[in-house]
Amino acid sequence: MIAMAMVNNPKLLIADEPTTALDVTVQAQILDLIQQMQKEFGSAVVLITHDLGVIAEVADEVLVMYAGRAVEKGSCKQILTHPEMPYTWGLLGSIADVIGDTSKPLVPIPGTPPSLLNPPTGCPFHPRCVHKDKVPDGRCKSELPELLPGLYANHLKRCHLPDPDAIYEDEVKEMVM
Amino acid sequence: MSASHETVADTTAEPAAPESSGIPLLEVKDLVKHFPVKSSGVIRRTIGQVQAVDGVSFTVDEGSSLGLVGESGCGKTTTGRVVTRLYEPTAGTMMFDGTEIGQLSSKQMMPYRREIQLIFQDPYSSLNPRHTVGTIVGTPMLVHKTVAKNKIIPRVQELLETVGLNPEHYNRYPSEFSGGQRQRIGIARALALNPKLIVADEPVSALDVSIQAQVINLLQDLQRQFNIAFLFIAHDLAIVRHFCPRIAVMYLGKIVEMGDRDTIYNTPHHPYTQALLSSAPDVKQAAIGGRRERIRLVGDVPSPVNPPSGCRFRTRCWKAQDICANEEPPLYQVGGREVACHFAEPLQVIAAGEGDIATQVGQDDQSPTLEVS
Repeated sequence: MIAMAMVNNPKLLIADEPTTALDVTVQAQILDLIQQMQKEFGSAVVLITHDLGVIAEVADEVLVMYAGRAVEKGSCKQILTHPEMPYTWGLLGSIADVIGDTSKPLVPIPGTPPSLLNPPTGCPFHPRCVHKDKVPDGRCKSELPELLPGLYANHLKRCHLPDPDAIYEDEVKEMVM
Repeated sequence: MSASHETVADTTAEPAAPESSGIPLLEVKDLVKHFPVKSSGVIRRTIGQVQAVDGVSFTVDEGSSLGLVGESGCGKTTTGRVVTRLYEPTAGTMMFDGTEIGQLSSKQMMPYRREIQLIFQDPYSSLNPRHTVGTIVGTPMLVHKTVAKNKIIPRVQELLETVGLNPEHYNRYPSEFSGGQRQRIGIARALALNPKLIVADEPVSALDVSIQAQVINLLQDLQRQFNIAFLFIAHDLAIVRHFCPRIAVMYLGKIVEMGDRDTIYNTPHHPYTQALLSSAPDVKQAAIGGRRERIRLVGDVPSPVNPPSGCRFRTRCWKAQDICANEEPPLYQVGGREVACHFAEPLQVIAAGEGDIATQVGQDDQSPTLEVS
């Protein structure tokens, strides 16, 4: 499959969940191969995946999507260490790890992803967001936040929370990390 | 907020799952399951055996969890199915609560089927789309006559509430539920007969990350509440570590390393465990320590029809020597775990040169971090 994709020396390779459903050892082989191809042919790679572990291993930049919209964008390290959007916090809290404390339960995102036939008003994440009360006037429910620059360089986020980094450090990081 | 959230929120307040009761519930010894390979043609002779499970021994304690990890085709699902007697064992013994259940007839097996239940991997194919949730969860009680007929619906509703679903939804069909909710229905069905042991075969691998955490927390909560033992089969190393205090790593039908969670993950001794752990992408590790170098295993898993002589991992192992081909390593006791390797030792700093990997002086024994020059 990868050979087929590389036949015409593409400048852009879109890999849609290339390693989902593979064993970790084979996944490691495929990820190595994609990175090797990238070096050899100088292709840009768009890697579509739900696996944050894979992102952490290979991505330079990360775009987090929710209900059809980009909700956060930044460098891989930024997103993993200083995420500014509660959905990204939720994703990071949901995953188990091969290091760290096993006595703490995982912190899942409550509820289920919304139906796209009838998406929620305002911020699409607000029905599942535990921080929506921190935004005055119920703006999360009424007003869709713009994708605006965050606290760090080259970081964009779609969230009304005024100081997400402080909330993350105070309340969430303990649970996530 | 949905009912499912209530259950999940409750679990966060409680301590983690018990480490171990120390009372063995299931003792599997030298379990073997071979599938015959038939020739094509009119007279279908047996021309070989797929040695799916070949001499596996382990113990699951009451109210505790044993994790079974390995690649596809290593025999972990077959092991689970033999334990539930969906497959007949070729050889070996399975003591469940003091009774040998490996050779029981299906009639004698009935009471034990109640005690051992199964949660399936795919919540989209393991629920009959033409049956309502009430029928799906209620049928085990009807078959085993554990509950009077007129009490089944209240019991189903109680179970739905236990797994965080709306009890009023017992008349709905599986297609009306999301993946995570369907897996909850599967869990409710497994709980219907108050089992002592649940074989969970990849219970979360078909679910979204955010939903996986909900289901894992639910299972831990149920384990505490009902003192259920789990044989937890999964290929996701992080989930297994989170859920199971004891872990067995399988390769090609055999257990290659077995021990406590921290022993296995902090200082893996078997080369295969080391390779498996180094291949697992990990967010926290990447966030704090940069990306790790992986141990690349060459080639594929050999065919279980004709496995390599001696140690089955030797064809892909960088430590392999003559003894590995001639002599099958037994499970040695090394550093608080059982490991089937002639050269079992903690992973040292590894230097990868021109295609070869050499072991050098040791470093801290806390993490299996690799450094590659």
